[in-house]
Amino acid sequence: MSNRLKWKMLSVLFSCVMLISGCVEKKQLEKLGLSTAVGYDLEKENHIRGTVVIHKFDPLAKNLTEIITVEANTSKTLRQKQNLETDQKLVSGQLRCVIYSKELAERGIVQLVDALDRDPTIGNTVYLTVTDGKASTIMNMDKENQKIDLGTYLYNLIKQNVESEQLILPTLFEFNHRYNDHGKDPVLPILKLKNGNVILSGVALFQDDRAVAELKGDNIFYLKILSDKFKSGTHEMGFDRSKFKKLIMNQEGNAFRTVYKKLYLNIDNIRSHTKIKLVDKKNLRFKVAIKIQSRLLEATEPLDLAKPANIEYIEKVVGKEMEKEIKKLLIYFQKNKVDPIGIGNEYIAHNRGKMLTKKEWRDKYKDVKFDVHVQNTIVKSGVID
Amino acid sequence: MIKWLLGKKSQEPSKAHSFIIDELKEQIKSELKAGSDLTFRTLKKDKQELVFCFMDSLVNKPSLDDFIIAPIQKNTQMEWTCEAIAQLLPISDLSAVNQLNEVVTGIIEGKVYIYVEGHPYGLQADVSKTVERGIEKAETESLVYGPKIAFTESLIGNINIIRHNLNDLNLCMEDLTVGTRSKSKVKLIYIKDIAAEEHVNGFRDKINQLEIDHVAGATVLGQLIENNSWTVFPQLVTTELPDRVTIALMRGKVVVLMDRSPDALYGPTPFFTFFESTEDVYMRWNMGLALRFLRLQAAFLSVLLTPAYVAVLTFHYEVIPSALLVSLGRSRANVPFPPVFEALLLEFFIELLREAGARLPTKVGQTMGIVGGIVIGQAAVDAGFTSNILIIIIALSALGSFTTPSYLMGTAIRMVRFPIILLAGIWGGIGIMIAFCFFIIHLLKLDTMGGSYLSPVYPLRWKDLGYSFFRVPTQYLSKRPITNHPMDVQRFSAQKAKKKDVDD
Repeated sequence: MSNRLKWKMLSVLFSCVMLISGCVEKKQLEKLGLSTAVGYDLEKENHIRGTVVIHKFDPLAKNLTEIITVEANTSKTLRQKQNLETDQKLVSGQLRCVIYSKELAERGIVQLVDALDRDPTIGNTVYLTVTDGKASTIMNMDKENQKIDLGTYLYNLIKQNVESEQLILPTLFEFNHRYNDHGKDPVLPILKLKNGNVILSGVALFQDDRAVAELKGDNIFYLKILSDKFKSGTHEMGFDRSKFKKLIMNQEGNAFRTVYKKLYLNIDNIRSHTKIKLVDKKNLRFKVAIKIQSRLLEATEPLDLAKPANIEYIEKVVGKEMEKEIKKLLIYFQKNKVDPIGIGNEYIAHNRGKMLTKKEWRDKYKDVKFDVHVQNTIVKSGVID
Repeated sequence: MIKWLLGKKSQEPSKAHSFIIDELKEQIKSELKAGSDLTFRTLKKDKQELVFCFMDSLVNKPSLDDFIIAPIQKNTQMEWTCEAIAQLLPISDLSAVNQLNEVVTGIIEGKVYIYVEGHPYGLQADVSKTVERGIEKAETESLVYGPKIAFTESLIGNINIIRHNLNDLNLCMEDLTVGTRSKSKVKLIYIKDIAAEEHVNGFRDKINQLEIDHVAGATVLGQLIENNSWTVFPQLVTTELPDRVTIALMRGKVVVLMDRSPDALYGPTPFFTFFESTEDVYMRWNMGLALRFLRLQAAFLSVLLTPAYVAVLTFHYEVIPSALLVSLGRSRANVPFPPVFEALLLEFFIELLREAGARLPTKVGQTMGIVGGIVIGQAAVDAGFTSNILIIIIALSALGSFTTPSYLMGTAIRMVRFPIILLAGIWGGIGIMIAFCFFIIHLLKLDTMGGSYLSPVYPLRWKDLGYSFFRVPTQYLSKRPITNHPMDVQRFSAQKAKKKDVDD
């Protein structure tokens, strides 16, 4: 290349840089209204009410956030209309949490989730949630005194609970994965207002994109055991005192008072490993083998744990109890025609060749039978012994 | 290298000076035009006439009086011939000359020309004195740990230091001159059986080919013999530390010392050499390794941090973690400028501070630091000129660039930042990427004395990484770095070193 040509090329390149760079859309942080949480309610037929929490950087404003509610048919129109009501440009790159009302979730949320998918600025780790009442009530709670950013609060609430293994990860990615998977259904957490605070009250089970059932309390723990590996969880179980008569230590003359009618055991540091296996293809019989290692941390009555036989007994009783609960839960899933664990995937893995549609699996799912085996080991029982 | 400086030196025709003293005086006067500095002292005896020609400012007067004039005056019965005087004088550096240009050059160098009228040649005796400062602590490359001695402006003194550091018989010193007018003395130093011949020849040829009136010092000489004079990155290291030079020599590098220059120039020096400090060698290897990594990271962050701030705040708000969002947004909301302008303003301000601090005397310099750093920095934030976080980032990147042991490379790193900030402001993350690609390609294309500038990372020389990129225990460094193509590769026997470990 001759020297002159080189200079020519360079100057063309330079002017391109200078001219084209004007076309890049600038998004200066302080000029943006960052929506950190979005809520969707079903207003009436064909109408959605969208509420958005906007994070603003106005040094003179008292509140960090601003809440705007509008109505429209699609989520992008919602954004446009919301933009009319604020002095800053609305962007969704910092979106942390999306709330769907139960009403909406029961009708199906896939078109709204799809809108999130198509927006490249929205990350895959956005949390999707369902609320018991209306999304707008949660977002508008204590509007005047709202000092914190609701989006960040919800994000931390869910993240913290996922990390302490009380929830199945409800990210956009996970939802999409489960939704598009023929042998697995999505699960999302349920938010609720309690004493002016947002709390997690349960888990909504989805059939495709419609919420059909709800899990509460203990059952969330079993759902988690079935669908995930536990690395450190905590669980409490209640038993009739009569079962533990032999183990309860004598109080040596002290008057024996009990606060509870039942005996409660608390095990923590749970490590679980679940294997679901199709053992009989014709009769659709699945073997659910669960191995649990745990530490017995708390009992409402003093138990004699010095003897290995006693520990073995507790292991067995706890295991039996778990087996019973898990069986109940599996049947509950079957009844509601939801498959949050991925039994269908196990079936598909063993029946290669023809692609199983969702509908075919739902038909088959009715007739599935389960053998549940829980192998429970108590590794430690506290530092005292 | 600058092409028009190259060429062949022309040879002046030789010419003997006049044999009559008065004419000789006139000849020397017209050649030198030194005014009253040029002194002639004439002695007479039995119709014989003898003259001493010297520059008043360049000779050591007491030794001239005691060792040249006094012996000649006292020996009254001696006949004045060159041979007789040469036998008589207690001077070690004595030569016979008769060419006018040689005489004049000698006088400029501080020699005394002794001429007896009518003789075909005269004697030149060296009684020169040089003005030099004493040996001091290193200033530009100050150290906490290790030898503190630094080179001075005296070539002989510097050679003395190196010779004492290295008692190797194979330590070679070649004499070269540079500058068609200034004729500065240059020493090419290397260890004969370690340094690669190609590097020695490279240095010698390039210095000999230089045709320039004057070279201001070793640093300038380095700029003149580098292969790429357009780049911001220096390709040869200059140092004022004799121990650094010694270590370099033992690794097979070639050193150039120049008279009246307190810096030594050495090469080949790839990019990572500029981040090595002699302290790394003196420290225990793990500490040395940590500090070297710290320095590399600091340099990298110093280049990246401010552009990243600009790019993120102008284009990529999505990547800000939610914990930082509030503080970043709050402090930015007060600033009326776009982030590029804000960053350039503050960088400019820091550069001003540094430059002003460097120009001022030390005592005022400290006040400058306080005024600049605290007063203006705080005021700038309060007035809504810049955001708090940018101040931290700018301070960090300024600190990072100062950790580089080589001042030249540190300045290069600071200057490189400005175009990257601009690109980040124009194109965001893509701009930073383009800038980094450009610099990587540029560094790959550079060379130092014909070797790759990014060695030993590219081309990857696994064994050499222990010398430059990492710092490993000495028992693993039994071979000299092959980047320098040493003739004698082995430093010590690796097997013996291992055996000794087992016995202990």
